[in-house]
Amino acid sequence: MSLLTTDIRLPDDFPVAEKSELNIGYIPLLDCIPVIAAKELGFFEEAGLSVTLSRESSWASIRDKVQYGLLDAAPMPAGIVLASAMHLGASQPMVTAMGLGLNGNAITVSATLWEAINPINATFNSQEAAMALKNYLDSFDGTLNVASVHTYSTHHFLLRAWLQHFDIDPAGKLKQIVVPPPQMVDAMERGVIDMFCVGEPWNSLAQAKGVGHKLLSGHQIWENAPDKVLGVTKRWSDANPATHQRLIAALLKACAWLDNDESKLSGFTMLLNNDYIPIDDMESINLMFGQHSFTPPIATFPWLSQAKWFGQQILKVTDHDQPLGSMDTLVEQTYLTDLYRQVATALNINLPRANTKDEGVHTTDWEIAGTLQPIDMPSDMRFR
Amino acid sequence: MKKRLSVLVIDEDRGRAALVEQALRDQGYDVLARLDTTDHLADRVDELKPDMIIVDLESPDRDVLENMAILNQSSPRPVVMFAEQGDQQTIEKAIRAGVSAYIVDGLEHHRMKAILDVAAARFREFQALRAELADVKNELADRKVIERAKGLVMKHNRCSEEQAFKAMRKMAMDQQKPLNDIAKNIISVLELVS
Repeated sequence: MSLLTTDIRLPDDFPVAEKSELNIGYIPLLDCIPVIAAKELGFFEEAGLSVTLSRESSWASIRDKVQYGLLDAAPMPAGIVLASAMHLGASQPMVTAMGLGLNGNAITVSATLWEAINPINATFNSQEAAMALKNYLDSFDGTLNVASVHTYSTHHFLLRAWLQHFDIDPAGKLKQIVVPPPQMVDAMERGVIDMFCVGEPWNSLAQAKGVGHKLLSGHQIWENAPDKVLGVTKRWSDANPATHQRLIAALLKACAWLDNDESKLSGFTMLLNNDYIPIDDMESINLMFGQHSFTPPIATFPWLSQAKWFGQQILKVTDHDQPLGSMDTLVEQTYLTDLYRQVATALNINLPRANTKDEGVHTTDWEIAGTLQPIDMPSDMRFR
Repeated sequence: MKKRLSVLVIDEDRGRAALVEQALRDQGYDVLARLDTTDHLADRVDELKPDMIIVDLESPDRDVLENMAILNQSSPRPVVMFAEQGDQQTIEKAIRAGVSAYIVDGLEHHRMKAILDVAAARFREFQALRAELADVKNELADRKVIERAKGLVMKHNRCSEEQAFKAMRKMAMDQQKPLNDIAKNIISVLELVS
């Protein structure tokens, strides 16, 4: 059952914001739409917040600015928030009380590599794509440059999970490098990278320009995989609890608005038309390719079970065994499920009863218990 | 005597990079290279092995350096990781000036602080210069607009330069608008009729 955005409003006696002028950063990607929509449709204003959006050039810059208060909050890969909580790459632990979307990523190979691994232009599932790549690598002497956008990004984790699942050594003949999203297509065009995993619209743009070809969608690696979350520092959240809740309320409204293809399409078009994403040949792009979902609470609840998966991926790439203390404590301190619950309750919208769910085992739609009514969950299998 | 620290400066703004490089040399540091963006940044850092990297906070190459820091134990690490009580302020000041840095583990904090301070000061100085330049450019542009409007008024009213200017100044006072706005209006109107 879809939510009506007009019904979503905070009660009049909701606590006043400690801080009402906020700076929020974003990286040009289709999945930054919830913050842009909340701004353009006036949902921030309605929640008593005056928000300035600022386009940032790297995840590192977003993290540092959030760490030092130049930005109050930003959508960021869940991995960056959890890494900071593990004191990796940051000194201020970050927290999140809200997810900002599922899906939206893909793996693209250069036009040359596509021709080499798939001369008959077949449609691949994740296993066929892995086998084709493996066969190519077996008879190939050099190394392929594989780019993702940040070591702690969902793209990097998905890419590694896929390679390792099908016994391809991610460090063997593949050289893992990092390239910022807006430079991805250009780097592939110049022959610097052979394969990349990035969020939309950059895969679709590479394909539209004939520079690359989509090998797999993120959906084929993990259906309805979580990605960005709303990141703030713990210090900021502690100092501004009402502001934080109002921010979540505005974004929940934006996500509820995005709960149908028509809104999504008009939202994405607005991103490209209003220069939030600086590309010109948008007509050739399939904006719906990413299968983005922003639907509350499936895509917005801060599921502890997802935090745990991200935490484990961080340990794998950094060769750590355990975070300080236990993983359970870490995810509970970092994913603020109670804060989300308070806001959703104030808005009178449906909530899952549990903070965790089974991840990656459902081949078809399923259902979980909700506070107001049962919640329809989409399939979430890995390696389709 | 301690070994001279080596610093790598990464900045797409060559003017600013030159300013930072000179200031660091003056303070007795080795500046290994000054790079604007490069596809092979990771290889260059491996090759040069700097003790510290100074990089524009807004540089898209930051995530490349992050990746090196995470995957390679001997690569320089982001300075925000090292923010202990005493350094918080130094790092915050640097970030506000638009400077980010990566440092090797074990670099003494006072030495890191000294380099960050130099870089932040130069970034701020450069920012001020740029703002001043923009002001001068605006002022020149304003003056050109006013001159052009004056010329059009002289032609249209067949009057002297002084009379034209007086007329424009009176309009500005009557309408309580900057002379520059009045000039722009005159140009748009008179260019239509002429």
